[in-house]
Amino acid sequence: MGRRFWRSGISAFGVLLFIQACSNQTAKELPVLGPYKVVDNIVDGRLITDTLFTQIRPFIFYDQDGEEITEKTIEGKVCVVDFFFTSCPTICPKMKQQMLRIYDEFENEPDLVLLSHSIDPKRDSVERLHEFAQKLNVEVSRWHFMTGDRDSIYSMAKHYMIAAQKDDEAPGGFAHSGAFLLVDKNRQIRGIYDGVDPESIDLMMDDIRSILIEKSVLK
Amino acid sequence: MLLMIPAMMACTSEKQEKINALQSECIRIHDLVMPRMGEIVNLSSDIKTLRKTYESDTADSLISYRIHLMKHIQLLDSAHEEMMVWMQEYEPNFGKSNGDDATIKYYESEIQAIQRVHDLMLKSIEDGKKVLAERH
Repeated sequence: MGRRFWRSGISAFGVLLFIQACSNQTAKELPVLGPYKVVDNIVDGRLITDTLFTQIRPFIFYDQDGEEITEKTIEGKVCVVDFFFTSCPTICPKMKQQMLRIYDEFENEPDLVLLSHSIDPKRDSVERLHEFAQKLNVEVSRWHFMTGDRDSIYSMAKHYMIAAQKDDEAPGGFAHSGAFLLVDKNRQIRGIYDGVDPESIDLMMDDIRSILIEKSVLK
Repeated sequence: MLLMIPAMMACTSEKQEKINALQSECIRIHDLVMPRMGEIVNLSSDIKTLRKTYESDTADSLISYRIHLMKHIQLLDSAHEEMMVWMQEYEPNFGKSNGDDATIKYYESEIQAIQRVHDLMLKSIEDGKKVLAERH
């Protein structure tokens, strides 16, 4: 009886080690996307060359509870960013389904925040976004549905796109492309995914796991 | 009487096919221009910035130039707004609570409506680009 207990205990430990090894494998190194500057600095008389990647610029929008959401709100957090609107008859319902998968998958992860910007702020008031969030039954602290000045929201969409590319070419369609962006703790873009494709979101969730365990060191 | 049933069923399925085709056409036209909504807002924003540079100038020619710029800002903004309103009011499930004939009529009129929005959007983009290219 006792031997059997130890045997099964050792087997369980083996399985745990295997799971641990597998989870270590998923912590892959993701590149920082977007334009960068190469800067030379003299430190202690030695020339040090640094590569500085673009950070997402400061912003001010309002969420479904009327709270001001800024870059300070997401300090030290990993973010999933998208653009949508509540009356969208085409891709947005599919995007929200995928976003809900991410929300559920990382239920116990306080360092992950979802930021959904409405590109129809005229109709998507704080009140309407509040109702929308209530229907989805999501917590405001983990998923901010944001509204604000229309031009600023579109300008932010363009900024995200430019920040994610190296050639400064921003297609005008990004705000309604269905793309999800993965932003790390340093406000740098680490991935772009197709928000209506479940397989692309599977990959994004793997990447989120890798980014969550990274330390916040500016690249 | 029994002979009429298959004929009626065939007619219903024909109407359903027409409804499906009309619905697809609405979304097809919408999808042609929806990706350009960002371009519309960015053009509007760029013309607003250009207009600001002439804001305090009282020369007659510049006043009329400001009015000209304002007209294009409004054209771009109203094209954006019309698309948003169309999407807000479009009923993808109209057929569930209405008969086939009414549904066909509804989607036919929606095709006309979204085509008008499509044309307005493309015109405002074309004109907006010209305004920025021909700046004073």
